[in-house]
Amino acid sequence: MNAILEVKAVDFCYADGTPALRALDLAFARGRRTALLGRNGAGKSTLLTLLNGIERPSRGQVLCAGRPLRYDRAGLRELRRRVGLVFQDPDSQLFSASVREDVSFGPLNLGLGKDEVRRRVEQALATVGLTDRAERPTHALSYGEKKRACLAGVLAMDPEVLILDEPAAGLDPAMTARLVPLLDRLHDEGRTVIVATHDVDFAVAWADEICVLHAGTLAFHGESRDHAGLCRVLAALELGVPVVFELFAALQRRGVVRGAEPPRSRAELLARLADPE
Amino acid sequence: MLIDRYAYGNRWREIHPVVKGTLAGLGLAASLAAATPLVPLLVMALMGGAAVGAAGIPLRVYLRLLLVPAGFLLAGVAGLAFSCSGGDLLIGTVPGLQLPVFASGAGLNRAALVLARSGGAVASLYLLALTTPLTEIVGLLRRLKVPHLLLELMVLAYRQLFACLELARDISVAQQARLGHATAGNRLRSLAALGANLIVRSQWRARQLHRGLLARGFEDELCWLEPERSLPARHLILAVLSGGSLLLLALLVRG
Ligand SMILES: Nc1ncnc2c1ncn2[C@@H]1O[C@H](COP(=O)(O)OP(=O)(O)OP(=O)(O)O)[C@@H](O)[C@H]1O
Ligand SMILES: [Mg+2]
Repeated sequence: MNAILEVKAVDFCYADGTPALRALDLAFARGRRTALLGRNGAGKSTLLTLLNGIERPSRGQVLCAGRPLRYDRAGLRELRRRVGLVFQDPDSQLFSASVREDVSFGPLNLGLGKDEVRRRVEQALATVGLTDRAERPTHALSYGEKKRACLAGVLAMDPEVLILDEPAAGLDPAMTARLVPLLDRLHDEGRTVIVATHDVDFAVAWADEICVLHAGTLAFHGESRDHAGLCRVLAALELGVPVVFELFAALQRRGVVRGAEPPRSRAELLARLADPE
Repeated sequence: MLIDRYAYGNRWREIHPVVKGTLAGLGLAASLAAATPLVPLLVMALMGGAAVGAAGIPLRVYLRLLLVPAGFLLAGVAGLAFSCSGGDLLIGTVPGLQLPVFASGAGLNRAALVLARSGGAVASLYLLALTTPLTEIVGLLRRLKVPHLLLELMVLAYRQLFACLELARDISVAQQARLGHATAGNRLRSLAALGANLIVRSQWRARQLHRGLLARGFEDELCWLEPERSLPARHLILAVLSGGSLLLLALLVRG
């Protein structure tokens, strides 16, 4: 496998001694969509900050494109150019007085020219649907708008790997529905996308691969098609089994639908119900 | 934050900050250079008229905002106008202390001048503050070559101020929701908890914010784009003419 990001035998403890990750081995394949699942406190956010070099492992190694991360200035700059992280809490990312300025922060740090920065900022704002809010002060945005502003701030940097920590939390149904095609578009443009989420339905519908963390260790890592293995872990950890899988199983028992492979999304299930063959 | 709200929503929002800055700067200079209260009063009239009449700040809001510095000013100016050590006119004694209070013509004149000058200065700065969001003021200051560090501090303090206010409000609401304000005792305990947690949580926030900055490639200088606004010559000429004539007048009318 061609891993773009990889953690090897990683332990991580917070400064107050809380162990957050233990002996974690995990590789993220280049160009794939990965969903990261796990209970509250499982270590998802912690893992993501390690991948962006914000935190350093207490033991073990983090690798980018096969090379161990270098934690000096140049190494981190290179890493953050390639790997963009959108935080779970938008307030830890927004600092500027207005939305447009905040979005311009990352691309300016990349050393791009003013015109290119402007172009990217406008494009990123349009992508997340915040063009008409661009002049607003960041503190006068709703929670969902803040989340979108954060996303725009990272999109404008055009990273090769895009890491999103619970991007859908706080978004309204319309914006959530728009998130999936957006993530797919970013993926189709050749990016690796990693998303931490609590939404198992979203995870099976969108992701190619699924990782499940539990208490800082890896409980499952496999294809999202591997529904049997996945369901077992999800049920054991009380993360909830995807609705389509349950419906499919029930419909299969009644003989309404056939086939061994369950559908991955509601749309797919409906399509199969409409056209059984 | 009243000022902030109007800074983002007024009829002068689209006017280039350089124009507003020039007008305010000239008004400020004219007020400070004046030797009589006449010019500062004119400045106040011009700036007040611009803020209320042109930019559309409601008169009531404007007057209320003026009350804040007016309180400080009156208290300070009282010391100039009245004296306990001698003057032209005895106007009374401090009750209980047997201390005489005098007023003098010179003192009153000086007080009036200081009051007018400060009023003109405040009105000038208010015009800028009420019609221009902080980000554009910072952009203006950058053109004036104010050190970058200072500007960064301004922006961060501005953002943190709101984050802190928001936090304080959230904590207070959370306390009220659980009967934290039900009795005087509860209220006191809640307030203490609010104070203690605000500090800890603000530090935490600051650290999180720093991580957020690092993730987007922050090294040691904060940078961001400023909004682009057109700068019509007509506006600038108008600002220079009106502000400049006041300044000229201030320099000509000497006592
Ligand atoms: N700054 C910190 N200091 C100390 N401990 C922390 C800190 N941040 C997180 N932890 C602890 O580390 C563990 C992992 O936290 P993490 O934030 O990675 O979980 P998560 O999987 O993202 O959870 P959630 O789904 O709630 O976002 C938790 O036990 C948490 O209490
Ligand atoms: Mg998390």
